Amino acid sequence: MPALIEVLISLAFIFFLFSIIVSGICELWQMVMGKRGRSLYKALNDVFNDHLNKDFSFSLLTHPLIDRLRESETKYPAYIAADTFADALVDVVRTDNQHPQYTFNHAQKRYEISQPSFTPAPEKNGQEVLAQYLSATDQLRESDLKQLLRTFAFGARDYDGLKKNIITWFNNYMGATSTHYKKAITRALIIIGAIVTILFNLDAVHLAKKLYADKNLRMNTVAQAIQYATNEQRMDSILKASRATDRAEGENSIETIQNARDQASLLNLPIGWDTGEKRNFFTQMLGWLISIGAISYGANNWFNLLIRFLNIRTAVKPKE
Amino acid sequence: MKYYNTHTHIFSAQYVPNNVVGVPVMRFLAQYSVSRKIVQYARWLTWGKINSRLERVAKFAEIGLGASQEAIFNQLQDYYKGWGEMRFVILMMDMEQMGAGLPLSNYKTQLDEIIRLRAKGNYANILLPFICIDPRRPEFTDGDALLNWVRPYFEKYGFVGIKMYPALGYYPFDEKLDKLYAWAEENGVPLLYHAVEGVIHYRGSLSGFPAARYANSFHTPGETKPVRYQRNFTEPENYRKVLEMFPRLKVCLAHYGGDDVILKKDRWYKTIRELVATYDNVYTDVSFSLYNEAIFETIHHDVNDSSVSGLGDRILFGTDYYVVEKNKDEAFLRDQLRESFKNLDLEKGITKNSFDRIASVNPGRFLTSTFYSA
Repeated sequence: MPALIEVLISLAFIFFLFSIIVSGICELWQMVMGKRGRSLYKALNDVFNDHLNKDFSFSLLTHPLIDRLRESETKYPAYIAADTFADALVDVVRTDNQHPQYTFNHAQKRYEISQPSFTPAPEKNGQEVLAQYLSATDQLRESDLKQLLRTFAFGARDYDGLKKNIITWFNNYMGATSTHYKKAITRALIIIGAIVTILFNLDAVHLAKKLYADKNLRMNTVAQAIQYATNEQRMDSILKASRATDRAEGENSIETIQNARDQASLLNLPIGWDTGEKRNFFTQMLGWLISIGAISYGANNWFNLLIRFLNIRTAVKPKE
Repeated sequence: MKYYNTHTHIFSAQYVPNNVVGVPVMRFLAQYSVSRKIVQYARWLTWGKINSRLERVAKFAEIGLGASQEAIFNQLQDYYKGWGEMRFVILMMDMEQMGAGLPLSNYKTQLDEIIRLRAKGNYANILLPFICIDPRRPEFTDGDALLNWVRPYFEKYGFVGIKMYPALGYYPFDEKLDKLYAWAEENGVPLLYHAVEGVIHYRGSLSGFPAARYANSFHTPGETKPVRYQRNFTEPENYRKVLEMFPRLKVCLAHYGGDDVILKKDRWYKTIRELVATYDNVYTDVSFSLYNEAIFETIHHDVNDSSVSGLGDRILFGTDYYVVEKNKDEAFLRDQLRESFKNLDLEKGITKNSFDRIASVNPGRFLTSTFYSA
């Protein structure tokens, strides 16, 4: 019984370390490719790029409230707060049908520009913004976007009501699109997991057999797992870095990948291509598939499992 | 002295349909910061081989991938910092009807972006937009609808001229354009036609393409490949037909036929000169063609050629920024032509500054209308 639990602890710890490597690589890849920002932009573009009217997603992106969130002008913001989005959207829509007007002064050979005033009177601030929004929406050609913009105003008596509706919609929409994003991330994790598995020849079946048969290997792995799991500060930073979102955290995630790799190398695991052992092809394939699934499962999940297994071991051991 | 670059573009890749040569690659490059870095490094790697093809294409892509028209325009302005009062004719592009799919952002977005941009700082006086007209837009049900759509851009939004790109799949003598031409003629509004064959052309189906309103002996309606069919649209004889109907229309037949045509003194080159000599308001520009410095002497000769009536007063300086970046850097075009003209003036004992004529005096006359004074 303890041997079996120790094998499970060892496997959980090994998969935990490799999960960190896989999720770290995945985060880095997303960061380098600007995936989060692109995903957010695509989600907004799908709704607000209206070919019958105009590309409001571009107007939103270049609105100062959102434009200033960009790291550089060629990058998309990775995150937009719902109330910032609502403010930007209302402003983009309400000002859409009013352009600055140009008159050429032939005597001075200069353009004179008259800017439409959008500053609402303070005493009727909320109603005026809502009225401007509705008027601009009415002037759009009939389209899916126009319908959506119209529904935002349902039940709204002033700007606050309109904003509240937009925030609710935005949060729901982001929730739905984040599901798509998570699916894309899961796909990426599986691909990276497969690459790492093959690169390290990480055969779960072979590992389990070896751990069961080799007490020293098993005990060493369990000892390392206990030491690792009890260092809470390190665990926190590792788990945080595996969810890196910006450059600084990305750098942390490189460090974390390196730490996980160093830790894995301390275990002297029977992995890699230079083992000199002949294995059954089908068992190896099965081992690979299990490993791919396991290391794509997420470091957090393996950490939780590891803690449970360690608790079971502690509960079982005194009786032994 | 005010100088004008009468032929520039600042539309970003989002306004170009995907099925145009190079656009998918550009868009792919635009998507990822890592690929943008590759573009930058490609330029860096060609250090020491100035104007190598790779460097040029990378530069072109880098500019086109700009996040906004403002970003691209600011780069253009930077090239001319030492030129004092500089003005830029910005030619908008409507590529929605060219049979290459829809651009990411529609034409209205491009127009709105320019109108709002010009209200910032002093852009209004240095950025002079030409509105691009394609008579096939669905909302242009007839000539009146087209004219009613165009007029506010001049009367309210400060547009200075009209850009036409017949190679995208229409004839310059399209019936729907007649009322626009009459209005432009009356108001002295300048029109700039793309008058050279190139990679941007109609890409849709040619079967059932409506017959030309006026055929000429150079038309080849049986042509099956769009790349060659574009000749039917850009044929300089088409403009003769327009000018016969609207003889006071102020038009610029851009690119002077192209660098090869200029060097060989080909039929297009001769036709453009002939149209300039016949009609008082016909201009041409040296944009794009001037990447080939071999044409400088011919252009200089033409600016000072009194044998063709009015020719010297009707040649305009333009570079075709940023499209020309594929071939030469804007700084090269900016300096080389000016320097070359200065030397040729000295060599030939010409007292009138030839460069100032094509970059200041002639554009001033070309751009002046009811709506704008240079």
